[in-house]
Amino acid sequence: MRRIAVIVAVVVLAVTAACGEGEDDDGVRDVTIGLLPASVTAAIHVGIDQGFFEEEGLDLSVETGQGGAALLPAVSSGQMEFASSTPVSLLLARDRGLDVRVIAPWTGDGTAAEGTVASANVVLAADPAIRGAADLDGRTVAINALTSVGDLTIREAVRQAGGDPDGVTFVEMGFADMPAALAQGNVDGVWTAEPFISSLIAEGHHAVEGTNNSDAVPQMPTQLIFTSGGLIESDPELVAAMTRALEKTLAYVGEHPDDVRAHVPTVLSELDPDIVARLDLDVYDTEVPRDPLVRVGELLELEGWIENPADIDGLLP
Amino acid sequence: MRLLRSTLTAAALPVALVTAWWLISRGSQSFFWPPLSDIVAELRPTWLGERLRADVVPSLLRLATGYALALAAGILAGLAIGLSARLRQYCEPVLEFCRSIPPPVLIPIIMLFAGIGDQMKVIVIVSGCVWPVLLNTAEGARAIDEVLRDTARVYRLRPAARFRHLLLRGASPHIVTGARQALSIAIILMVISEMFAASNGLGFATVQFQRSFAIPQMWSGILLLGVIGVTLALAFKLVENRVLAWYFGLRRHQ
Repeated sequence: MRRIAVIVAVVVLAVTAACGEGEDDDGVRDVTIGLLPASVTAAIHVGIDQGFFEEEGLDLSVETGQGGAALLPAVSSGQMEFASSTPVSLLLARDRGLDVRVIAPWTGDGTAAEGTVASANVVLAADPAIRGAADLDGRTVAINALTSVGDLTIREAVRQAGGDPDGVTFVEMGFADMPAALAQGNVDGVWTAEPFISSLIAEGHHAVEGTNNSDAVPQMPTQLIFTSGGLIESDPELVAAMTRALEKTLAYVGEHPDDVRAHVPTVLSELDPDIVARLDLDVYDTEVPRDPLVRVGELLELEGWIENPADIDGLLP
Repeated sequence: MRLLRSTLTAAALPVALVTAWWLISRGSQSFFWPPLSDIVAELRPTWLGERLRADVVPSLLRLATGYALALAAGILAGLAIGLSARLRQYCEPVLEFCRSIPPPVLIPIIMLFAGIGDQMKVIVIVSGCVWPVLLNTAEGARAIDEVLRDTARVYRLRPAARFRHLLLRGASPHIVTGARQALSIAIILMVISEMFAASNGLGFATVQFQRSFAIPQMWSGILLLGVIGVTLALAFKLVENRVLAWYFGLRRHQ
C-alpha cells in the first residue's frame, strides 16, 4: 500500500515537472517552439546563443521531433506555444476553423546567393524529354506531402505552361527516399529541397523549367511562425516578447550566415560535414509578405481545397 | 436461447462504450474531438460515394492478396520445415532474424525493387504476415500424432491424400492460430503501406484527412478501419468453426 502511494507521488511529481511551463522564481518563462528537423532550424540556435530570448525573459526549448501539419494540433492544444508551418497548411487549418495566427516570418523563397537553383523547392527529373512544367502532364511526381505546397505550386506551374494539371499524378514520399525512386524510374520527377537538390544535380539530373516555388507564387514564404489564437488572447505579453526575440534573431541571421552554418550540426548531427560546408542555406524573411499569401489563398480556392475565401487577415498579425 | 445470451454478452461492452462516447462528446466544441454524431454523419458521404471505389476497394484487394499469399507461402514453408528436423536446424536462426525485423523499416528497401505501386504494398503485407503462419504451421506439423503418421504409412496413403488428410488436417489447429494472428497484422500493414508513396487507399485517405484538418472525416476513417477489423474477425471465426469442427469435437470428448 505504501509502495503504491510512493509510486503515485512520483508519477504526480513527474507529471507536474513535465508540465513545468510557467514562471520560474527569477521570472523567466519556459516556452517551447516546434520547428522542422532541417537545416533551417539552425537559425533559432543562433538566436539563443546571442541571448535574444533571454533578454525577453524566455527560456526557449526547441522541438524538432516532427514537422509539417503535425505541429498544428500540438500548438492549438497548448502542448507547445509556438511552431512553424507552411502558408498552405495554415490557411487550410483556418478554413476548417482552427484558430492559428502568424506572429513572425521565418523562411522565405530562394536560397543564398551562390545557390544551385533559384528556389527553395524545385522539380528535378532524369528524363531529358521533361524540360518544362507542361511536360509533367501524364507523368508521376513525388512530393513530401499531398495537399500542400508541392502539389499546389506544381499544378499551377503546369496550368501556366498550358498543360493539364489533372494529368500529373502525385505520390507522397520522404525527401530522403526520392533520389532512389527517381533513379529506379518509379517516378518521373521529384519535388525536393536542399541538401538533395545539390547532390541530385551533381549526379546529372536537371531542374524542370518553371517549377520553382517562385514561378507559381512569387516571393512565397516557405515557413511562418505561428501560435494559437487562445494564447494571443490569454497571454499577449508572452507572444509580444517572443515576436521581438524572433525579429532580432531573423535580422541577425540575415547578416551572419556563417553562424547559421555552424549550428546546422546542432539540428542534424548525422549530416556529413562536407555537405554542411556546401549546403545552400535558406533565406530568412524579416517581414511577412502579404501579396504572396493572397496568391496562395486564390490558388487554394481555385483548387477547391478551401470552402471560403482564404482568411488572410485572420492569419496575419 | 444460448446464442441470444452470448450475443447480448458480446454486444454489451461495445454498446456501453459507444453510448458513453456519444454522450460525453455531445455538444463538444473541441476541434480535434468532434461529437460522435458528426463523425457518424460523415461516414456515409465520405466513404460510400466515390471513395468506396477509389480507396476502400483497392485497400481491401491488397489486403486480400497479401493475406492469401502469406497463407500459401507460410503453410507450404511451415510444413516443409516442420517435417524435416534438419531443415529446421538450418532455418531457425534465419527465421528468428527475419521475423523480428518490423516490416515498416523495410518499406524504403522494398520500394527499391518492387516500385511504388500495389506490388510494393502487397509485399509489405506478406513480409509481416508470413511469419506467424509459418512458425505455427511448422509447430503444428511437428506435433502431428505419431500414431496417425504410422497409420497413414500402413494404409499407404498416396502423397496427395497424405498431404491433405494427414499434414494439412493435422496441423490445422496450429495453422488457424497463426492465420488469426496474421489477420490483424495484415490490417495494420495495409494501413502502414499506404503511408509510403501512396495515392489511394483507406489508410492513405485517413492520413490525408488529418493533414487537411478534416477531423470528423479522419475519425470516420478510423471508425471504418475498426469496423473492417471486427467484420474480418467475425468472418474468420465462422471459417474456423467449419474448418476445425472435427478438432473442437475431439477436444470435447477428451
